[in-house]
Amino acid sequence: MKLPILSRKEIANGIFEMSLGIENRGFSFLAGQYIRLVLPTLVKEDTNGSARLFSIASSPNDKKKIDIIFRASQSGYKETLLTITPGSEVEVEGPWGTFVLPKKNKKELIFIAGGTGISPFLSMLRFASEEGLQIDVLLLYACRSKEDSIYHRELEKLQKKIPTFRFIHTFAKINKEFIKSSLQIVNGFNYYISGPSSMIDATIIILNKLGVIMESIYFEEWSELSFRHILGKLFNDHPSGIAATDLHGYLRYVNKSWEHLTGWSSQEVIGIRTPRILKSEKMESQFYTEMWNGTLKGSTIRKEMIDKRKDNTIYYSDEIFLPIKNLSGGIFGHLSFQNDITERKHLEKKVSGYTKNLEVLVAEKTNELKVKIDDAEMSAKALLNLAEDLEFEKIKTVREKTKLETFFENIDQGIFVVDKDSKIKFINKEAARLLGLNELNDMNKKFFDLWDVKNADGTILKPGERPISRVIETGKKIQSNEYTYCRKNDGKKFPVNIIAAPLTIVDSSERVIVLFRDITEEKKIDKAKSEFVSLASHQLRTPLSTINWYSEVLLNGDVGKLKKEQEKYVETVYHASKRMGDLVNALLNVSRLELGTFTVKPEETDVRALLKSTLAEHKQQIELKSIQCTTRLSKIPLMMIDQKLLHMVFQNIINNAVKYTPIKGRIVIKLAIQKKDLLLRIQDNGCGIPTEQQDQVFTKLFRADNARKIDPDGTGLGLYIAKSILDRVGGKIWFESEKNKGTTFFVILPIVGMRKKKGLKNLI
Amino acid sequence: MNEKKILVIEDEQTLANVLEFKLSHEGYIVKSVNNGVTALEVLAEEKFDLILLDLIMPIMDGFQVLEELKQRKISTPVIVLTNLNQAEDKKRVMAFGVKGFFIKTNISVFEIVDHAKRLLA
Repeated sequence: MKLPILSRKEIANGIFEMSLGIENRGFSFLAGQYIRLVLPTLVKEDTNGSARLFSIASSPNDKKKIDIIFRASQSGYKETLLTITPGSEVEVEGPWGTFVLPKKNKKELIFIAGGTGISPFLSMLRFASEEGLQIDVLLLYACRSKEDSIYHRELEKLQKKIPTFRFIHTFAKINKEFIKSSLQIVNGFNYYISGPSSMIDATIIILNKLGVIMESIYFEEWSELSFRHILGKLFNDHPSGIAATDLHGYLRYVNKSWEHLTGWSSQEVIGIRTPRILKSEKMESQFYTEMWNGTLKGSTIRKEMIDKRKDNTIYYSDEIFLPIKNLSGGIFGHLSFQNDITERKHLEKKVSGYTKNLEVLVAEKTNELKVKIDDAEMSAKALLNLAEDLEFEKIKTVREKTKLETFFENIDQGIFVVDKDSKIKFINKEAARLLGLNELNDMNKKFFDLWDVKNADGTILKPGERPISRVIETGKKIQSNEYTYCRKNDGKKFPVNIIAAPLTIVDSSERVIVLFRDITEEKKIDKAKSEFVSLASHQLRTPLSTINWYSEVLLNGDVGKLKKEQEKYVETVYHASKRMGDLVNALLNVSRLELGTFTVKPEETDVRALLKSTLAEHKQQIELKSIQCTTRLSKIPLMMIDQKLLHMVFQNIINNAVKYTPIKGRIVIKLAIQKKDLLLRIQDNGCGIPTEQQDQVFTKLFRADNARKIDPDGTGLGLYIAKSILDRVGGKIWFESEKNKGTTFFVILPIVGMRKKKGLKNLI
Repeated sequence: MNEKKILVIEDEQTLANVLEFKLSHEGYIVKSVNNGVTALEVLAEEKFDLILLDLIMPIMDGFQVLEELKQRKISTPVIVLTNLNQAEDKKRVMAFGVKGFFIKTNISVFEIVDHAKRLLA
């Protein structure tokens, strides 16, 4: 976001202050926290890049502005900042930092700062002085040179304003004697340390030796931009919801899946405590305490939880909590992985509901056919049980792969870093194990001298096609599970899921970080599952065929004319069986959608004609209900479309509109080009979707309460299928709806059409 | 002997029964077997005018039967009736030049009879 600069002034020799307007833009800052200022013009001139962290001096909650102080240096960054005039805008990201001044200060604070690490403390002290807060703070400050001592004047001023603040400085490094001589006793305080990481590590060791426990030491691991940057590179597109918190439980990083899962954006939650956001009434507070204490002791905890989204809806989640350790083994934060298992839970419930209904109906109607229905039910259960088992196996495999013990070294995914000549610059234990390399001896060897990368069709990638080369060339991240690693000397190979991303923060040279894992098992399971679903659905259909054909023969009077009442009963059986057939087809489609294995075969298509023919399929019902159907369909140039898939999307939406529009109701269909998209709009004046259920409309097997009353037989899969298809082909679907007034569905597809995708199976 | 002969190769006895019943009603002579091996034995001795063939069967499945028919140069028209619903299965079967491919749950027994009648007319 961009914020205007309100004022700029020099407050002490070499220390500047800048005020940024905050207005009501959704930031929530506390004094002492960090933000990142981005000056895009500096990318080339400044070797450190265009972004810097600065700590905030004042709380914007009251003032709607933030004061940032920074120290003059010789960098191009300072020059640029100084030429920016009030009124212009800079980009701001954040908040990032961890040093938040405790509101109720039970213990006296000891700040220990080295060099420019003074900055966050200075910010907090300035804030305290402006707000007239009396905080008991002792600052131990180590600065090497006179240059750093330009802070002294500022610190002395603050000492006068805040009588309870004292500072002691040394020109040497922080050492045991300095701490001991500055403090009478060492326990009973909270220690905050800020400075270069070597200084932080050394100070922690000293404090530990003096008998200070880890729980009362706070230090700034998270301010390191690189750490957060790397978390982002590794986990932004990870399928699990991943969040990292500091020791106090304040969120410091969340990935996209987490945002998607919880409904919160990272901007809204960074700096807020996790339980405050996610805790539902169904979880006991005690659990959080136990979890917290467990991870503090270094344990990994896995638990099925019931969490709350931003909109207060509840979801089931399978979560793993792990401590994050620094090199000296100290825990400085937590990482959590969570997967939404709500749908699985719902699916179990709903499907058992379906089979039960069918059971009751059949039992009432006919004994002769009951045997066959039981067969069908058995197969359905077997299908679901096996699918479930396989799903569980898959999750387990993925979980085991993502389990972290210590951060990089022991992470259970292969990670390596190469330079632009593919020379290996870093390799973790798992990568070394998978690739059969030695973490020491094979350093600096060229990756492609040892391993080939193969395409899905088994051809070896040429140098320019390799993911690493493409990352260097485009500067963009690549994620794929289509490649296979193949060792040159003995041909050992395994399919991989890889994420390769540019890594520019180590130094200015081009490097690529690769995160990969062996997905042999997952591929096997996917294939087995796909084949199983195909065969199981065959088995499921066979008894249904018998029911259908026998009912037809009975109804036709081929084996003797039925009485009217008998005819009615057999018809009911026939329709129930047809419905079961539809459900089998829909479930089969769903399982393929979920495997992501369906083929997309685009061909030149007249979308308007396709829409018209889909509409014609519904002509009979539209006339039967005397629905007034208006169409405004613009002529659309030929587009590359998989007709079967788009037909399914059209069919599901039109079918819903017709189904839920009352007799003599109205449907308006509009097809047009809007900017670079094809836009379809289908408006009805039907029963609408209840507001409180609108967020579940695209959920598998979901049926709104009022929809269920109008048509008890729907599968609850149509919109889920439509959305899954559109997701895969780059389209979008959404709706606006008001209960009892009607619903309007919108579908968007880029004019460029669908891209061809290979898959294992076609949808039906 | 003017009557046309139909061979039903289907392992699901209830389905074979209803096909036999309906087709006999239409005046055809119908014989049914429950696997591919028996079917080939029968075909070696008798000539049929039409074959209704299931795909998934024990001992020898429908795909193998089609392969054998091709090898033995038996050119009796074949209608495939199955519950395998994959495009690639259909493609594989159509390559043998069969005269029909129907999903059993999606087609009524009357439509099958009509189709057979058209082929035999």
